[in-house]
Amino acid sequence: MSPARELILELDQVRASYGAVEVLRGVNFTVRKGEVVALLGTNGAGKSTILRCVSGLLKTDAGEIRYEGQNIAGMATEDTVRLGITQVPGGRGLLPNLSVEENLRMGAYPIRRQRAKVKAGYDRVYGIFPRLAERRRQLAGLLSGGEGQMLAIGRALMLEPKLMMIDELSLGLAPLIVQQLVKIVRDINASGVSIILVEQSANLALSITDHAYFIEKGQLRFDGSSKELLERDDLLRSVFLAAAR
Amino acid sequence: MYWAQLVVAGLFAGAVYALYGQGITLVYKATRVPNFAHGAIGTVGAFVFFKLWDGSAKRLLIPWIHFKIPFTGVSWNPNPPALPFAAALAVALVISVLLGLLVERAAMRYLVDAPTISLIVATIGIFIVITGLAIDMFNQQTETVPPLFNDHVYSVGGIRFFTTDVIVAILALVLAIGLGTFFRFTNLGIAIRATADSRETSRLLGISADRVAAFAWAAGSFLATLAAILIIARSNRQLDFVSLTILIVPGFTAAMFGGFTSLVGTFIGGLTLGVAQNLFIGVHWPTRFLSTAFGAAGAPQFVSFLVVVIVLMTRPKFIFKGVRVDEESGVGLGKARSGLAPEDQLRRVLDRRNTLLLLLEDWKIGRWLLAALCVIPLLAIPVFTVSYWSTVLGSAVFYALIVLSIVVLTGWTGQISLAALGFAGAGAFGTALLSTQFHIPFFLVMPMSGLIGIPLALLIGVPALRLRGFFLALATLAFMVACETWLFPQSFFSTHNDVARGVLRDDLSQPSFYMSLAFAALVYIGVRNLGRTRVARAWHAIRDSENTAISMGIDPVRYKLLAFAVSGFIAGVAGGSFGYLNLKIVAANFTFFFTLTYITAAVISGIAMLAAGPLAAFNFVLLPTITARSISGTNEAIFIIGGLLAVLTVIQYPNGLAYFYSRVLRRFEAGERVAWASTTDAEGIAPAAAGAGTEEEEEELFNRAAHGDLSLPAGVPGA
Repeated sequence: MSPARELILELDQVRASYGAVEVLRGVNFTVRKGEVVALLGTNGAGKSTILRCVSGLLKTDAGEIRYEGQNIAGMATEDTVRLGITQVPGGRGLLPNLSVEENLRMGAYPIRRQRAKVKAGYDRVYGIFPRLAERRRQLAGLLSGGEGQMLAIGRALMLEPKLMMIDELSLGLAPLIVQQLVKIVRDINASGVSIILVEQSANLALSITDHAYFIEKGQLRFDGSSKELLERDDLLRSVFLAAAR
Repeated sequence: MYWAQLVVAGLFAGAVYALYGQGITLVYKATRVPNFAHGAIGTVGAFVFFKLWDGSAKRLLIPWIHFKIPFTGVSWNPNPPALPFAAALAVALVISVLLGLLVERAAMRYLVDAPTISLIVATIGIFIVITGLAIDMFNQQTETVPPLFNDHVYSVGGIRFFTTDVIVAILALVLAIGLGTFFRFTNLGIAIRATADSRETSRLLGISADRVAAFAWAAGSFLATLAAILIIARSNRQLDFVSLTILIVPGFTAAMFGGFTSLVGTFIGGLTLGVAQNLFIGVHWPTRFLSTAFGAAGAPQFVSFLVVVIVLMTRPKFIFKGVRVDEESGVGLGKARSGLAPEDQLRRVLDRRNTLLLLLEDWKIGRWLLAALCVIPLLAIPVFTVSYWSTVLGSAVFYALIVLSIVVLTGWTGQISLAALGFAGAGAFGTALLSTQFHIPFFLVMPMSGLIGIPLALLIGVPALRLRGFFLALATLAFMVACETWLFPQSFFSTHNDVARGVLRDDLSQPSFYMSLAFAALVYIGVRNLGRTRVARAWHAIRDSENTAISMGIDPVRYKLLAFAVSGFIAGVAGGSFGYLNLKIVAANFTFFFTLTYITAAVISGIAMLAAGPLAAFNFVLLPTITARSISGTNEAIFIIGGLLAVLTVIQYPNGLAYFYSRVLRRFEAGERVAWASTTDAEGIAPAAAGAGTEEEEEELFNRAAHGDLSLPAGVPGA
């Protein structure tokens, strides 16, 4: 991660609130092209809210979100998706009454008229996740937890995104499956996709990311290279324990 | 042969229901909105068509279209041009599509996450507005229209049917298959299903949920007009605003067979209902009692009710597979849209000038003053004026009691019931029987009429035990329509519908008004006290989360039935007062349409507050009556204004007026005034929630960490 690499996403003093409660109170952080970044923090710190602001689900109150140099704060979700930002929603976020293949098809909704691209998307996803190919006609609501997460990731890949935001990769999954998913996330990153990973499991996140940001009460508290932070497990522990008090 | 003919006739009648239900299914499937305005939108399209089409326009009694500016008397009556069939149809369809888009854009878009009761009331409001405006615009009387096609009579093996029958049936079948294919195989179709599954996830995939909803409303309105024109042509060719709205129950029933998701299911459901109705009517009942009871004109509606209850109670797998049955009651207090709630804003402004404190201090006296201001005219006016006013005040009391019964059942217990006037009708007809047949005096009949409302309420209360949200609303709606069209018009009731005067005077309006006022006051005080007991707390728990209530040991069967009984009693008393005020009771007084207006009035006034009763009576009975004498056109406008208010209320302030007043006039809560003093609202709230004890420590730790000084201070865990 040489510093010369271009920024793909930059948040500048972003504020956002739910009703009267301000959740983000001036967040700054950056993602470079081809980088994997972790957003860490306890429950309610505002990690998922950051993702919601980037994707446009939540309108920001103030601040700029620059994606490839363009301010996308306040842009509609449909349009941010078209720019190449996709999200793997937390808690799976599948469409349970649609079949596996229909879920994938909806993943390619913005490029639905480019039939060849959609077809290539199916092939790519089924290549990565052969399990999904076996179950293509099954309702997504009937998949197991791990398969569901595979589908969510696969669906986000249909668009050939530039920036992929994963909300809770490991939540509620068996360690064996998490390992498989970690490998796949690495592969996706190796193919040139920048990734933001929101995680509760700090060790997991630090092991696959280049850089980590710690969010606390809607503000960035500190950040650092994942490698260095991983060696300082005393620091991590203190952060999480202090916040839990 | 007799039965075969019945079945075939039933199939053709059922195709109409299917056609009507498919538009409802389409909108529900895409947006989860039970569209009560479906028939009204279709009827507008039908009117446009028949006014424009050269085959019919000349033969209408009122061929022109009537535009007017309300309250001014300015109007314009242009004669629309006569167009060929296809052009007229196209214009009608385009106008109904635009109407559907307008409904979505202006109202439904703001109700995406709204509870079921808000969705129901919003579409009822839209239904009232459209009907009110369109009756003014298109006609004041029923028109007979010429046939659409040269109707041939076909006869196959002795079974007769017409061209229009065949066209309706084929269209319904084609739509079922066509729409089914659309939803399975096209991107837009799958996107609609995706949005219905999870709006947020769909948006993350780049699907514009608003556009999907707009499409569904446009397509639904298109189908509504198509269906309306064909249904009018197929049945008695009467063009009016009543006949199609009554189809709402068979339409919803057909849609229910498809679980509100399957178009083919809706088609089959429509046919099943049509055949079931015809077979039921065709049966030669063994005794005279049964044959008069089940041979009555409203028997099809009774069958609809039976079918709805049986299907919803048994919930067969083949229908409800994958159907999202409501988990929640669909009734809840709304949240502020953003920032401070309006009542808090008002409190803040009042408090700045120190008025609020004074107001609250004075409110202890003020409430008695207000009560005196309300009660003295109520008591005095009937004595000093003509009986007209005691009749008006009497209907205000009736209105207040009906809303009160809705508050208990829906606002407090979360059981969305559209059957309040069914219970009231039972009380009214009971009054007639008790006073004329048994010669029971006036002051005893009133409470007894309340008791008559109870069994009828329990009759629907028992099937309601298994139902929540929209499905409960559907069952009670079917019940209400069965009461209106089948039970109350029974020959037995229509020969026993006089209320014996029982008192000395000829004019009963005065004593009956005082009597009902006294009973209303008793009921109000009783319910208010009930609201402070364990029972009411159990009701609220069931409303807010039935599953949680059960886990806390609350028996939902007992408390739900109790709520139905109390609600039935209140509505029954209302029916009794209605009986003495009107002296002759007819089924037309207790219609599902009126019930819908009471529900909207209750929601506007604040469905979870007892004060909604008197408030609704004042706003919707007294105010219009008073203003109607001075401002021309108020009476016709009152429906439209009420409908608009309903839509506005559920969008902007779903808790209603009474809630607003009570929130403004409540005592100060701890820290409330302090919070206003701080610079921003959010900061006033957040530190209190965060628990300030450890904050400085953390602050220091993080600052040091952020500045690269990673060594931890002593005493911090992990150092």
